[in-house]
Amino acid sequence: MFGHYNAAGAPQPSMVGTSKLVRVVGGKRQASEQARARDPAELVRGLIAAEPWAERALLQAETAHVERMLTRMLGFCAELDDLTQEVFIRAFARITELREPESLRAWLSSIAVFVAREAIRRKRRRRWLVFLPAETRPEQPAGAASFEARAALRVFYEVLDGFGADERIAFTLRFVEGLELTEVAHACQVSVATIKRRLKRASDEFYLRGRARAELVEWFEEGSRWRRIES
Amino acid sequence: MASNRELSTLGRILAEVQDDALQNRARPPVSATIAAVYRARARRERTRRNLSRLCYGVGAAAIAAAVMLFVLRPRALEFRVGEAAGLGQLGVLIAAPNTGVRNLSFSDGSRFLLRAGAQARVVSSNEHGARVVIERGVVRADVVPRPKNDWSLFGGPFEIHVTGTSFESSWDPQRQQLFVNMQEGHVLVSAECLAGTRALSTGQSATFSCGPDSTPASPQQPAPAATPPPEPMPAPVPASPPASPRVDPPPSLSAPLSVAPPPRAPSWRELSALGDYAGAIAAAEHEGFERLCETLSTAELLELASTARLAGHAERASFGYAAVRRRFAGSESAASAAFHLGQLAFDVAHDYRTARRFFAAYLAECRNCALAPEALGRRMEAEQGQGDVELARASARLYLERYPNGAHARLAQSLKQP
Repeated sequence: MFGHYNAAGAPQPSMVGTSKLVRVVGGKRQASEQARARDPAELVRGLIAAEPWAERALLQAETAHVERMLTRMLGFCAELDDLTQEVFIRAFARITELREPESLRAWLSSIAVFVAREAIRRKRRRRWLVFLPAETRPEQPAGAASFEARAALRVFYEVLDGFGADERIAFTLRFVEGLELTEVAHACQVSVATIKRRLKRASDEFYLRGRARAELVEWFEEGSRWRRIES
Repeated sequence: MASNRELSTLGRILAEVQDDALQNRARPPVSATIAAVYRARARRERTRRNLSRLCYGVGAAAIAAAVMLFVLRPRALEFRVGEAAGLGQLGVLIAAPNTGVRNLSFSDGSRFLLRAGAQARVVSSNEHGARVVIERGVVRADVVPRPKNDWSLFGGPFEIHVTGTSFESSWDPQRQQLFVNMQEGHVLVSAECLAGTRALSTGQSATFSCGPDSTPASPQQPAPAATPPPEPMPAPVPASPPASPRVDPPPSLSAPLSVAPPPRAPSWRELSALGDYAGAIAAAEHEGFERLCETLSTAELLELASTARLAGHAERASFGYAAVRRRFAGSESAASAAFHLGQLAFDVAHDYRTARRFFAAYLAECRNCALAPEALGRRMEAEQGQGDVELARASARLYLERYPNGAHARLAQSLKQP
């Protein structure tokens, strides 16, 4: 271990050897953490104990999912990062409520539903305060989608802005995220019958309102029309 | 009504657009998100602690205030008789010995001295004073002057009202006479048998009796109780004249005017992004629609033409798509423009021959052919529309081979059968 001596003749530890040891130890630790993160029960145990490795692993694994869920329900919004953080803040605080570690993702989805519902209701309340500046939907991030597809997406959520929060969430989870009825019901923490009723109301409303929008009318007349055009 | 299948198809396509945009989105690194979560958690914990502290503080302050109110609450005056250790009791007869005196000491410093043989009772007390009944004999009273003092000595029917005084008073129950001798201050003596209230001041003395042989007052007659003069009515305040409306002077013509530059008008692209397609085309016309068609890039020109189509300006849309095909011939954008020209010919002009030609052009020119199912299906429709049954049937067979579950599958099935 000792590689050289200082001016007084005292042996000094080899820094190269030490750094190698640290790297080896760090690598082993990282591999161990990754293995633990792959085990749902171990991950949940780490979250309950508020261990940094578990919280980091959860964020790495589930941030994209939470962002996608929120985007499905809300469309593109300026508060996406804040709302995503809110989901994880609540998840860390309420992790002890999770009964089945294997249901971690579904459980996060239900938290995202509640966060989205609050955001929708907050936005609707702001609309009553006419002296506040109107919120404008942020420009969609650039992608390869065609102009028609992006226009249809924008108008789709403009139509949904007129829906109640419960109907909007059920509609987007079912038809945009593609969840089954039981999955939608679990995420919203209501019965399947309730989800069916909400979907019926939302579908009828979407048909009535969407027909008035030029960006969607072609879709109503013929079905699937917009595709992602790869540049 | 839109079927669930159609809604699912639309939703899936929109989800693809969203996922593509999310992938391209600049997401904060995990470490930054973790730090933000920790900060938010710490902030909430601080708020919770501050709220708890506030609640505790408010509670403690309320308790302290209650204690202070209790401690500082107005208390009735207490008194001691002579040298007794305990407090005197209300209503108990206090008697001076025949050869001595008996002191009454009150908690505010006031003192009553019962001379030899005198008897008295303290019948009540409050924070402002006490009621002392002279049963017999002479009592000297030294009342400490205080605001709101309210002392009364009673001798028979007479009441001596005291506010801050030193005097002697005696009551003779057999002769039914009250004697008051003032050393300092003043008192008011009242009784039913007296006509009004009698005031006595420093140096005055008087004897009062309700019987027929009442002793007249001392040579210094007590002054009648003075009634306060009425307060003068406030002089009426003249009403202020109504304020004349303020008139701003006209701006000086000699002063230079600073005019803010007019806000920049939104561009056609900005208006299009907001969904104001009519406004976008108007803005494009203002810029020079045809000039734009010669100068815009591929994507922008396609967007301009599609904006015109959504605004219902079919002629301008056709002009723009044609410019794409001319300027960027052979490109994927040119193929897309062909598809849209086919749509305009079919949906607006009902020119099925031209529509078929453009849909076929798309199918021939496209590379990734994302719109191929739609183009083939609409080509089949256009062939049916122009009455060319054989062509339509051939297209139907081709469509079902490639897209058995496509949007035009039902039409293709009906056309395929002779």
